[in-house]
Amino acid sequence: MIRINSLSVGSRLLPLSLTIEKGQVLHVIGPNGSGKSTFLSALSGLLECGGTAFIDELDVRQSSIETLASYRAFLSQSDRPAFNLIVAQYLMLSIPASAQADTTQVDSTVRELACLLELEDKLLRPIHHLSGGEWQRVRLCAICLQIWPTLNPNAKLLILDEPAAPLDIGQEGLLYKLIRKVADMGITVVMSNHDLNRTMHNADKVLLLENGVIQQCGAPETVLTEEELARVFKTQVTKALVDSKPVLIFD
Amino acid sequence: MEFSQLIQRKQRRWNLFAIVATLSLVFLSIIYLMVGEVLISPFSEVTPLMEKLVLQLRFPRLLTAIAIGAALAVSGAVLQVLLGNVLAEPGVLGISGGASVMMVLVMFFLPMFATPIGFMVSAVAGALLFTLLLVFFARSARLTTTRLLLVGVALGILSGAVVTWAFYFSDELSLRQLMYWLMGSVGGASWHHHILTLFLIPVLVWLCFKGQVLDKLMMGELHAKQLGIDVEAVRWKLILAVSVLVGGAVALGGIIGFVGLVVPHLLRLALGSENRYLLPLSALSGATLLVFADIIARTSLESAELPLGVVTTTIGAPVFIWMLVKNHDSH
Repeated sequence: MIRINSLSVGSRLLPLSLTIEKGQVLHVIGPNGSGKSTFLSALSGLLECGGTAFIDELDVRQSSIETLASYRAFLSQSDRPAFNLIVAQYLMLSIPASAQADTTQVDSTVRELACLLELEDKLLRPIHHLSGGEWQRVRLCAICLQIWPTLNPNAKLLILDEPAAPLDIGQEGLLYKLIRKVADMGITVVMSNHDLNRTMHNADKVLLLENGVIQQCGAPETVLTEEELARVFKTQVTKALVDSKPVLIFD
Repeated sequence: MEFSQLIQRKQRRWNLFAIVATLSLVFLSIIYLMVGEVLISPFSEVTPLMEKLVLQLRFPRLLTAIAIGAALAVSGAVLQVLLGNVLAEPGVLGISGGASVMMVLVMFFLPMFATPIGFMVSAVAGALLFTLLLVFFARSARLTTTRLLLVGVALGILSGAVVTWAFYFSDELSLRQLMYWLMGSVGGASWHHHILTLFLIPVLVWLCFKGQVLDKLMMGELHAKQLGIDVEAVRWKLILAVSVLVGGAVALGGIIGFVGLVVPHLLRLALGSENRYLLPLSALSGATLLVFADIIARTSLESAELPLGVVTTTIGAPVFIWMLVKNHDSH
């Protein structure tokens, strides 16, 4: 369980409090510059902040960077390193040191994740030769290796900053399947997202931010209302039913 | 193929190359001790002159070449990761320039400190000062790495200007000493210079064991931080270590360019970027390259010898241009 109490970062994020249950998927939404990335960085302990955040009993602000790395993983927005190395080597960097000796376990976990993300044939590719979508899936694979329970029994939290941005709609499907799988293993997932329809169907809980201020927090049906979204995003929003599923249509 | 097998296969390639590099270093070192004005065969009878030649002249000089090569190649590899730019190199960034400026200042204004230890301290201080200037610029002005490289080049020009001033105002004796530093040469190496080498060895070994940290750092600072690396603390330690190595190398042999650029880069192209293996192998290959270059420097002219720095620059500059043109660095 994640307990956040008056977490704040200067004027970029005003104090906000919420709790997220074990295995829940929280989507953080809001217009550009509303403080989504700031919130995620502060929660992952990489940004100086006020207030408190607890991952189970672990106090994020009091913990060393090293301890935090075994409790949570944080996928920042995509950047490509200046150095070239093959995908397998990149993945190896994210496998916790304590798990590296158990090669059978490592092999089977990598195989499982590579299969989920359709990366089986890409392990030998240099990362500079990957397309944007392939690179993002490799990064997702690495970040999952860091918190996969078979390799890291401490893991509690996965934080993703716009993980779907470079993916096409097919790959996006793989991503949400993977996120659900991670959540089902008892790991809490916190992610920022721009695709509100995905949020409606794939989130357990939604946090809506505007200018660093919490607007709404709760179940998707209660947060994603036409009026609220129209007000925060300053655009027209209509909710329609397609195949008896609610769909948001934007102007 | 399974994941761990892929990793092991890469490891085997590195190990194989490590054996090849070690063997060629040993082989070249033996040749190094043999050739020269007097050709000494290990099988011939040893005269006192030969013994003296090998023990007092060639052997300390060989060790100097090895120490400089290893120090420069490793510091180049580490700088490249620190600055996130595969074209970074102590010479290109003006760091060795900083070391030489400090040494020139000591030579002129504090001649009583012009001892090996005095030079070492001033060279390290100069290297550290210029590295700090670079890092300060990089952070305060949020320079991109390309601009950082340009600032480094400017610092190099600045140090060149200071050295030229010194050149202009120097008398006969210090002029010759200056020439010696500027061109880079290990001709004056003797056993007491190796007090410096004793300081370099622990730093070199420490850096070679930092490969795993550098591997994570290489993938971006944010990613390294979330993987549990205390980026700020590590960065300062690495900068200090690089400054000691570059300062020591400059104090031992003057400015010897392009070793720190060419060796790690070619290794990356051929074998991959894993710093765990890249750093020790850079040390080995850098040493091998410098021993080879010094053999050329010593033997190519009939009656005199070439400065070592000129030989490495002649080999290195075309490779540097080829790298820039081919854009082998990234993306």
